[in-house]
Amino acid sequence: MSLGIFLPIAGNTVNVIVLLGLGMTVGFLSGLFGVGGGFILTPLLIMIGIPPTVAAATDSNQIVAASTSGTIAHARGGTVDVKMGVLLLLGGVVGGTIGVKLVKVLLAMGEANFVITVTYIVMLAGIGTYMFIDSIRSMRSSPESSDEVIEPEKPSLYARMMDSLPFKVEFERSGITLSALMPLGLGVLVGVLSAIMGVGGGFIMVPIMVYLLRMPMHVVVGTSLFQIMFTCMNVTVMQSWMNHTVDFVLALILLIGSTIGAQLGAAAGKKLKADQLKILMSIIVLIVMVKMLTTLLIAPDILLAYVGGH
Amino acid sequence: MRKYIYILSAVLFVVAFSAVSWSLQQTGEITIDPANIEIGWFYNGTKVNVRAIVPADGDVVVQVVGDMDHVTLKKKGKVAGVLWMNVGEVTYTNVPDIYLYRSSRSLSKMADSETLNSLMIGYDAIRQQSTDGPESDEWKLFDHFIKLKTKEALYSSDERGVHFSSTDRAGRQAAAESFLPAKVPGGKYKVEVFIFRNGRGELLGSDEIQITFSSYLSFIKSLDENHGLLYGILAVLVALVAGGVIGLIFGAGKGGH
Repeated sequence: MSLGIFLPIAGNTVNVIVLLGLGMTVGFLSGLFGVGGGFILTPLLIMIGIPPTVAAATDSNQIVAASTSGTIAHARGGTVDVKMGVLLLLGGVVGGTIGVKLVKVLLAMGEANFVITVTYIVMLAGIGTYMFIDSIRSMRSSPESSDEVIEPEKPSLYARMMDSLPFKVEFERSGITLSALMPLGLGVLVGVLSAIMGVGGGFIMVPIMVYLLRMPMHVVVGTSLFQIMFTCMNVTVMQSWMNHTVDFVLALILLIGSTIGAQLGAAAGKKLKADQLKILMSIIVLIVMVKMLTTLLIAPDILLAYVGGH
Repeated sequence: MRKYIYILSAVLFVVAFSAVSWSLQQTGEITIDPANIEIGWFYNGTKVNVRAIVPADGDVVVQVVGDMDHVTLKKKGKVAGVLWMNVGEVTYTNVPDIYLYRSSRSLSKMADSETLNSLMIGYDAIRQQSTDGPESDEWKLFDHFIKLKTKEALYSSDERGVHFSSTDRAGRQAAAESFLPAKVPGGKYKVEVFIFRNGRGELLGSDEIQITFSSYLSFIKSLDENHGLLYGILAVLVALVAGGVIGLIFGAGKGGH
C-alpha cells in the first residue's frame, strides 16, 4: 500500500513517512538551538513537490506546534525569560512592519535583491565564524565552561554604552540587568532583517541574544522558542486569511514529528555545555550560508521558478 | 439455386452494409477510462486510457488539455557576473495548466508547424499563442517553461504513444495512455483526437475527463477559500494543543523517573 497522502491546499500527494521524518529532524534542531527551522524545511518541502507559497506558510503553522512543545520543555527547566521574550517580540512586530515597507522601497531602487542577498551572506558568515572561533577559544581556556554570562574583564565601549541607557530592568531568568530599550531595539532590528530576508530570523536572533544581550545560552534557546511561537502564530493566521496558503493536513503531519523532535532536541541540549551548543549552532549558521552561496553560484538547470517561498 | 444466390447476396449485402455503417458511425468515437476521477486522501495520480475509432490510414494525435491560464514566473539570471538570482518576472498568457500529448509518430513528420499551430497541437503551438514573438523573454525561456512543467508531470509528450489495433479496411482502434499526476487541479479536461493525412489534420472527436474532490477534501478547501481567518485560527489552535499535549506527555514521563 502506498503511504502517499493527498494534501488539499498544496494539491499534491506526498509520502507520510517522509513528512514525519522531516518534521522530527526540524523539530529536533528547533528544540536544540531555539530556531524555527524554516530555512531548512521550506526548501525541502518545495523539493518534494509542495508549491513554494504553501511550503512557507505551512511551515509557520507547524513551527507553532514545535515551538510550543519546545517552550514547555524549556519552561520546565526554568530556561525561558518571558520578560525578555515579550520585549523582543514587541520590537519584532514593529521591525517586521518597518521591514515590509523597506522592502518595497529597496525593490523600487533596482539592485536591491543583490545588495540584500550579499549582505545576508556576509552577515551569516560573520556571525557563524565569530561564534565558532569564540566557542573554541572559550572551551580551550576553560574546559569547565558552561552556561555563564559573557563578562569581559574590562568594560568595553559597548558595555559602557549599554550601561548608560535608561529604563533599566532586571531579567531574573537571564540573571542580567539592562535597559528595556536594548531588547526592544534589537527586536526591531531582527524584525526588519526577517522581513527583508523572508525568514523567521531565529538564527539571527540567537547570536544577538548571546553576544549583544549577553544572555546565558540555555536561556537564549528557550526564550527564542517562546518568541518564535508568537511570531509564527501571527504569520499562520495572516497567511491563511490573506493568501489561503496554509495546508492544515500537511502541517498536522509535520507537527506530529516536530513536536516530538523538539522534546528530544531540548533534552539533548541539556546534556550539552553552552560552548558545545554554540559551536553546533555556528556550524548550522555556516552551513546555511554555504548552501545559499552555492545556490547562487551554480547555474540552475531551469531558469524559471514559481513565485513565492523563501 | 437462383433463390439461394439471391438470399446469400442479400445477407452479404446487409452484413457488409451494417459493417460499413457501423464503422462510419463509430469513427471518431472516444472511450476514456476512467472518465470520472475522484481525488481522495490516498489519491496518487491516475493512468487514463483513451481509445478512439480512427480511419484506416493516417497518423493520430491524442491530447489532454487543461484550463487556459496566465502564469507568472521568476526569471533567474546572472547578477554582477557571478551570482544567479531572480532578475525579474515573465508571464505566459493563455497556457494550459495541463498538456499531455501522444502521437503515432513525430509531429514534425505529420504536418508543418503552421498546420500544427492552427490546431493547437504540440509545445510550439503553445509557445506561439502564449508569447509576444521571438524577441520576448517569454519566447526565449520557453524551453525552461516546458522543463518546469515536465518536472511536475503537468506537461508530457510521447511521439510513439499512440498504438493501433483491429486494423481493417473501414477503420482501426487507436489507443493512448496518459498519466494525470496528483498535482492536477480539479475540473474538466478536454480530450481531443486528431487525424493527419497528407500533411493535413483535422479534429476527429473530443470528450472530457472530470476530476472532483471527495467531500472531506472539498470541505477543507472550501473552509480555506471562504473562511480563511477562521481556518487560520483553527490551524493555530490545533498546533498549540498538539505542541502542548506532546510537551506535557514528555513532561509527565520525566516526572515518573
